[in-house]
Amino acid sequence: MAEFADDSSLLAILLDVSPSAVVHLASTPGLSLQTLLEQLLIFVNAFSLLNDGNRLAVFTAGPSGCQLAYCSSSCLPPAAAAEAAAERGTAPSAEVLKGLWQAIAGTAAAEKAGGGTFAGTSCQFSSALSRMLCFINSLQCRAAAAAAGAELSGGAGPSGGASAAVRKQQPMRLLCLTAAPDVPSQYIAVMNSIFSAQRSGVLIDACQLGVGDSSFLQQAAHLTGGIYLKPDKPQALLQYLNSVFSLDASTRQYLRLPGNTRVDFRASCFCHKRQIDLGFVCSACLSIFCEQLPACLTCGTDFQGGQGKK
Amino acid sequence: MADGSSGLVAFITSGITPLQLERLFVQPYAVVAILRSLPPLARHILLRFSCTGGTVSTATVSTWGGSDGQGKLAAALEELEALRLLMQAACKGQAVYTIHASFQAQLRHAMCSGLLVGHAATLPPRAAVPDAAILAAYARQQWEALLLYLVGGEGTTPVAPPELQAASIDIRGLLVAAGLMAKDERTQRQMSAGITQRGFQFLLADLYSQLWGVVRQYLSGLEAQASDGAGGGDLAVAINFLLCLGLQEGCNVMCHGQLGNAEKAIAAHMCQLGLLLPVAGGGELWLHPTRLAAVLAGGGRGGEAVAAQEDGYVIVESNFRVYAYTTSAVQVAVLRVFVRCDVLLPNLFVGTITRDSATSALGLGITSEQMVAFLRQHAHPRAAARVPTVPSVVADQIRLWQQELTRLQMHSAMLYDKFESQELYIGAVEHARQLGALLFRCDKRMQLAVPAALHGAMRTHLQERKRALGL
Repeated sequence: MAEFADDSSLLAILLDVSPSAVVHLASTPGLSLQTLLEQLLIFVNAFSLLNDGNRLAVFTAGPSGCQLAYCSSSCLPPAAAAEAAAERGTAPSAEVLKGLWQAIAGTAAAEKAGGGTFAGTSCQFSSALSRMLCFINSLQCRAAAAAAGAELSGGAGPSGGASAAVRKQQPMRLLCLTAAPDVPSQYIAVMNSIFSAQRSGVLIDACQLGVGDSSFLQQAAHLTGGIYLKPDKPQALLQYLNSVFSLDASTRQYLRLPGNTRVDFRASCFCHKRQIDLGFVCSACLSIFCEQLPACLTCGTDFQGGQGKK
Repeated sequence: MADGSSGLVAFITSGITPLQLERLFVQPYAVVAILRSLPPLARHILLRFSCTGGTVSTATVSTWGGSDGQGKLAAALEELEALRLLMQAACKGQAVYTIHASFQAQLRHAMCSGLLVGHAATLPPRAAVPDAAILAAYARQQWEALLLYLVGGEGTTPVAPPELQAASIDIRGLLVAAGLMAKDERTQRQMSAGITQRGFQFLLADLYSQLWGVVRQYLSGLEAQASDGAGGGDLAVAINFLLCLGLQEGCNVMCHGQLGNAEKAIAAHMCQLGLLLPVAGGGELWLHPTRLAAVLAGGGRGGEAVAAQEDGYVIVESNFRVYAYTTSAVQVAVLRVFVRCDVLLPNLFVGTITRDSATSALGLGITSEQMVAFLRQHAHPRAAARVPTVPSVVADQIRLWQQELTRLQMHSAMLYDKFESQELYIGAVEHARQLGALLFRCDKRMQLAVPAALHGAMRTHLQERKRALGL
């Protein structure tokens, strides 16, 4: 039955709805927020068609923070899921659309209230990433607790249990659809999120619709084994989504997919959050600085005597 | 019967005619269920095709495969062609793959509109929404009654709930027609039937295969009715209805009064099999699909996962002891097929896999792989956490017992004797040895044997030699 190994997965989609992303999308020929949403919804439907075990969560990220727009009923706690099942009765895509429009309207309202201070700003990518990882982690904890509980209440078998942890986890993926440029000041937080994703076995896929490549997303995909893609034809987004990002991790090994050809590994310095090619690294805590300092700003190690390693 | 040879894909490749297949590809739920019952790679190929103009050149498709995926890609394409979902054709001088037009249209429609929301136009009142535990218990009760009848040959078959007021299906007839039971020749009693070899294999199969085994027979029964002109609907519509039951998550409750006549009959039969649970509420009868319906449409993988999560009860120890925490008569009966029962407690079956018990099961046509797969699929959660789930010493020994039965191999051979001269005999032996075909020789009696396949070569050699020696 190796052929029929369960290929269901949990997919969390991050949609960038920050003003700068929306402005950029509007200026891209053949693509606007409207068409992006349409294509995204078809992808959402296609993803849930592929496997009945597939679970989905959609988040939006704006300058004011990250919001959960939609998640499958199997992602909710049992009580809330029952309630949702009773009230629901529309397609998942409709729910996604409702959530997305709410988030976008919320962002626009916040922008207006803030007197246009958000204009041109990017999304809080680092907070969105950590929010999604927390969401995935909470799902895992709940699944583990449920498995342990089932074993206890089963009662028939011998008691005690470490088996719940051993049970195979559903593979998890993040898909980031962003159009805003990187914000170097978020470098440390983003890298920390990427490392925790790497550690918990979450794949990060990225589809960059904005101008230029995103160093953050390239590194995220590279480190977690995901795919980074900058579509040549953003107006054909659906085709990219369906043929590349709908693939689960195990099927990817059989198909030829766009690879991470060149990854921009440049770091941001810890002192001014500038992206640098060459810098100074603290020999004790590996903090990165763009200029030679008398002492490390992070751990306080004394560099006097020119001991900062170049 | 166990591994993928049963199920939706097997049914549409071997069970129905091309014309019916054409009709089936127009049915939205059937299309989704077919998609889900394919291997992952085949599903993704269809997804890539779904948004094209319908044709993609063969050269392009072959570039999809990665360096170690060419074999898999070819296999997936072959399977899709066998299902008539993809066709090879020539277009403008180059070879192309074409996706089945109506299948593509249905797939696109499902993707664009979100198919998995059905006729939930009217929701049942709160009182008519049963607890998940009740649903599960009903499904188990009906299905186990069927299996128990299969094992016991007598006893009661599962009955349809009386409130549906519909003719129930003849379970015994169904099982006999499916070749799972046969009329007992010795007793000559009308109502008595015994389980067959296929029946035993059926018992050990996973739930998905079992369900499809029964549903397949049920559908061919419907088809026979339709061709007799005795009512019965279109087969494709019936299949679509069955798959529709399992495909809609959460909001798939049906109001019995709103169904058509043909659907009402099928729904009543599915209640009898445990796929639907009828609940009265608000002056109407509501039909709630159970776990079995989801397994039927789930394409095999989801079904197995469900079975593993809910029903794990078997622990196999490396000393061939089997402990099964179960109160179900069916599960005990299935285990007794290949495990010697030592102790039977109210909630525990203790047995041993012995040479006798295993060989008797092998004699019933069950393979060692099926036995090991059964033990693995129904492993207790604590046993399932071990690697391997079934101790390798036990699995290997069962395999060895199977090989023991086939230690002797029969091949037809040809024996030559009564040679006219010693010289002719020696020459024949030499020739046979050169052919690598000498199975046996006896110089004293001047006899030799070669495989029957090489008789022609030996005969021409002997004739030539005889002519040369002037015999």
